[in-house]
Amino acid sequence: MTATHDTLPFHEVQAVDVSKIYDRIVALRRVNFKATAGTITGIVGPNGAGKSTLFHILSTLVAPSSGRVLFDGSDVSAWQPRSALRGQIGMLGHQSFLYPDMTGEENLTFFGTLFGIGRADLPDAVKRVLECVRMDHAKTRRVKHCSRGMTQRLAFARVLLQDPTLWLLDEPTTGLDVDTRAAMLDIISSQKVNKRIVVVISHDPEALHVVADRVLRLDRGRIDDNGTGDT
Amino acid sequence: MNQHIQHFWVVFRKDIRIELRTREILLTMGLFALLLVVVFSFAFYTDAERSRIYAPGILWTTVVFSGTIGLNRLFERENENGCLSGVLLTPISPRMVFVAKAMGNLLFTLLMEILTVPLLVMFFSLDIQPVGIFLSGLLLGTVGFCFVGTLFAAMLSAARMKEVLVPLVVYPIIVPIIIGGVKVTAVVLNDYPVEEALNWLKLIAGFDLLFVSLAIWLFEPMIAP
Repeated sequence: MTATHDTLPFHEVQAVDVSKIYDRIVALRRVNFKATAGTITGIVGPNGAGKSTLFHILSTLVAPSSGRVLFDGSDVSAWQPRSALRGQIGMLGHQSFLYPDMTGEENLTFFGTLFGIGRADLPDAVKRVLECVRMDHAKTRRVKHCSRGMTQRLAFARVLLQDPTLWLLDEPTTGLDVDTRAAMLDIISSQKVNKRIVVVISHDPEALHVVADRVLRLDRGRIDDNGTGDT
Repeated sequence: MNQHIQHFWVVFRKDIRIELRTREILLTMGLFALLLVVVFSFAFYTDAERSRIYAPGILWTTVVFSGTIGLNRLFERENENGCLSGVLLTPISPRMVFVAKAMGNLLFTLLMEILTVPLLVMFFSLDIQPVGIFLSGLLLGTVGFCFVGTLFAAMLSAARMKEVLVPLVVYPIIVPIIIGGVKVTAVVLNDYPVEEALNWLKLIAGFDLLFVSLAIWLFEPMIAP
């Protein structure tokens, strides 16, 4: 299977009876969850409910203790090479995934090359995403010298540059000013048109109300996937 | 294949760029190596004949101890801000990430050796003959040390007390390299028959072949199962 920016390698991601146990602490209990292309799913829940654990399992970087994650019905192990699948999963997590001793522009150029963006197109692509997140004025600042909000914007720019099939966004609006928050929510909403699969974790009910087609509640490792859109 | 080479080069160049900017690894490795050589020279140097006996062990102790500083630090950088997860969520093969990191370690360790060897020769009044055999032993030994070390530095990068754990795990595995390296160095310093050095070189080369392949193969299931 090949993963390019022109074709979607999968159209559905599904967690089937996924459980995760860390040192006898149950983070997820038989979670069943499905998200399809062109939809935005919001996930809410108290701290420690297992939301970030679910994201790491959906990203394939963490294996579940039991259960499976399926992409178009195929288990992760069926995707060879695995990196072709992982290259189509974009994650904005608690960590920025950005090298602190490199500038925002250098980080995006580095990741853009790994995403397979051609050398000729890369400068324009980096410039475009920096403008999208309103960071073009600080592109030469090292990440370690950026504020929390600026780092968050650069991390979002990284996902934009990747333009993945599956968007996993954990608290994407944290630390952002009002204008940037609105711009980011617009970008997230537009992914429905682009037929991407978007899953958003947020403690911001207003943000989820704006972007999500449905909101699921995760509590003490259990998810209520009724798909009704209830919060 | 071209894509793999490009990915390797991008990660390798990124490590070099960060190191040139921060100079954390080269400075700490270089200073530690310098300190060891100076202390050892005061402790062990009496005359040229005796120093030829001690120097092989001193050289390899310095290389391995100083090299361990680089092993720990290079992967620590990947854990800052979860960067390794970010890299793994790209189409790059995890094996290319490993090879690039190991080659980065190799480059930094070789640079440290470029400083260490002349100092050792100067402080201990050594005469290395033939130089080619000595350099082959040093290079082959460093390759094995860096690839095995990088694998375990990656595995233990998220562990508590990794600075202690990495040497505890790596040193027993690389014992054949250290013994082989010491023996090759002893041959070239003491005018022993070259055939003896060649046998030890074959051992180190065999170790490299086995453990470099194993390390490349094991990295993906260990880091990104």
